Amino acid sequence: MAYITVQSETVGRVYAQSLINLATRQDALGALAVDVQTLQAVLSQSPQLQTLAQSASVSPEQKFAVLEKALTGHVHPLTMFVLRSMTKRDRLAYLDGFVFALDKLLKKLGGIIDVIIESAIALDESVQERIVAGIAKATGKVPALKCHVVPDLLGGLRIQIDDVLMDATVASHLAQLRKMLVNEVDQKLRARSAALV
Amino acid sequence: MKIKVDEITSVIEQEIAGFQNRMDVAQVGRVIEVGDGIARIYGLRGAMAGEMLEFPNGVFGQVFNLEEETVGAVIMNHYLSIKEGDLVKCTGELLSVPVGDALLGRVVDPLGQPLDGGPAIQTTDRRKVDVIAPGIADRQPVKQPLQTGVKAIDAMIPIGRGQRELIIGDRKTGKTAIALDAIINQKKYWGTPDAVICIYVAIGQKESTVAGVVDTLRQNGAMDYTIVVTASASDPAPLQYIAPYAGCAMGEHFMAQGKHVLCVYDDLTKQAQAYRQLSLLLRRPPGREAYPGDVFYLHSRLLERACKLSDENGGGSLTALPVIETQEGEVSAYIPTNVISITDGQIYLEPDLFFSGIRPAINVGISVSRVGGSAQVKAMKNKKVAASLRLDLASYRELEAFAQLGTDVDAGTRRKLDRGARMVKLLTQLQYEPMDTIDQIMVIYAGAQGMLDKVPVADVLTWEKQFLEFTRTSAVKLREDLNTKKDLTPEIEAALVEAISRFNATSALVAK
Repeated sequence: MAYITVQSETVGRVYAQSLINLATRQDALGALAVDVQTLQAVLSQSPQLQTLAQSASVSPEQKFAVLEKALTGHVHPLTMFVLRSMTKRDRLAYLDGFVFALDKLLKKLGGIIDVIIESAIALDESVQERIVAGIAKATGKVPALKCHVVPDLLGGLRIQIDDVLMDATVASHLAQLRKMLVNEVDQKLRARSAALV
Repeated sequence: MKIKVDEITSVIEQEIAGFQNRMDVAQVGRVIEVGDGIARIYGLRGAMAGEMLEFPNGVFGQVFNLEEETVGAVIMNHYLSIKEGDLVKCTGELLSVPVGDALLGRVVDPLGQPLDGGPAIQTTDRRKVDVIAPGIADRQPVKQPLQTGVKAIDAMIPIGRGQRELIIGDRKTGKTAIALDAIINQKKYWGTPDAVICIYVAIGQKESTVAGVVDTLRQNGAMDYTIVVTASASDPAPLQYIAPYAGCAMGEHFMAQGKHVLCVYDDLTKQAQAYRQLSLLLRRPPGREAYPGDVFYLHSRLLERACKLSDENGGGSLTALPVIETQEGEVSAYIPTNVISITDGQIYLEPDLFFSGIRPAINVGISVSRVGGSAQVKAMKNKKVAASLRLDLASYRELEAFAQLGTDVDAGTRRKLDRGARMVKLLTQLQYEPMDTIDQIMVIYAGAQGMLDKVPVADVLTWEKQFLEFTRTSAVKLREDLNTKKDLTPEIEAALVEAISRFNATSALVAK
């Protein structure tokens, strides 16, 4: 995933919050959740769109014309309205930050938390469902799950829930064992050696 | 006796059998920007100010800025291995350094890693780098002298144990030389109850310069009780920023044990510049001269940790000798005025004095020690020794202009000029040759009482050398009495006058 700049997210959040406020009044939050996925898909499949949005040599009207052609009928009119506002204020360069912030704010409103699970082999669906159910019960929120296979972990699971990382992988245990052997065994042997002298 | 292989195996097997694996839970974030020694991390909502962060590949950083969605961190080691998207973990700990006797004689970086090619530092004790200074109730007034071995300082700008005395001057005026003399002079106290452990913190200096300092200390036998902490000019700015705090933490370990410590910070100007660099990169608002608004606090919280602890707390002390480099003698610049207002006095070095041959180039007229006589042995603060010296020099400075004009002066003025010229010469000293307190008292007494008036100015130092040699063979009891009583009693004074007169009678340097 490409990470957006702090500035982009800061500016984008202002417009994202405005869109959410408008959608709340018109009871259109559900449509926004779909729009976010649409915009994320468009940005990931067409990275040229972000480049176009950041280009200084293309006029804002030309940029919006491309967006309008691509997105009309695929996103809610309120979303188009905010994108037009961003264009007028020459803020379309922060499109990625806007989409990122909108996703975050909607998840927060909907009580959704991002959960990333890494394992040495692919987990079957029943295991994933059990993990999701456990996290939902523990946090009281709705987990949005992403699974990755990382063979270097050797076994076990590494689960990241928002900012918290829980590492119960074999690789982590081996690293702990190594650290313990290097530090504590070394100290004990030195103490014994000193006692012998 | 060596440990046997099966003993090693049994220890390892024991540890493995007792090993209990646990799930590692940590707060994490992702790097979104990295460069120039700083990183911005997205996430880490639970990060605390000053908390240590763990980056991949064994790199460590420290939280500097806590913002709404991101954390700004400074990276302590090399940041080139860090890239966007790397996972960063909170450690839950503040920055600490190894402390203890294992550091004596070693050259280390601000994280406690050895730089002298020697073995790893073996110590289990660690101490936090940034701590709050001892409170008022934990201290006592500074009253025990710290002898630097420099005549001009010990006589007129005396430093006490627990004091902060600033060494300030332009480049190449001998600031480091004074600090090194003070360190070398502690050799005679090593192994006695008055022993002083020395810590020399080199900040932003050339590595060749630091190598020269270490070599000088080693040649003079001073490395046995000295720790050298260095963050050179090629080291990242975060290391230059924390170097003085790391050195102070190492010193506080010994102070807490009731011992005496001398910390030299050479120099704090470069620490302020490194801090400015970090603050600007992390977009903190710049103030005067582009320094951040808390640059005063940067130095005040360091120097406040120098103190003399009360007897209930062990009676240890930490004396600080911060060094500040001025530009073209400008002592009213921002950083110099900040540090002058924090310290308990300053030793001001002037290039004009240096190039006119007065070395150490101390301007005794404007140098001051706010502790003063409380930090002097009784014999030195006797009015016939240091007090008289100060008056003679003050009169000499007033009348110096007449001497340069070559005008005719009356006998009294001529006497003052001659006396002053001899006293100025008497206060000069060779580098790395600190002088014992007893020797200082005897020669300054001789000069202040006019017993050098018949010695040509150019021969004053030769007279001093020969006289001191004379006392080591022909006035042994005098030296012993002075060393024991540390006071100029009438009997000791009489013996001193007799010794000087006896020497002058036979010396070829004294005009008959």
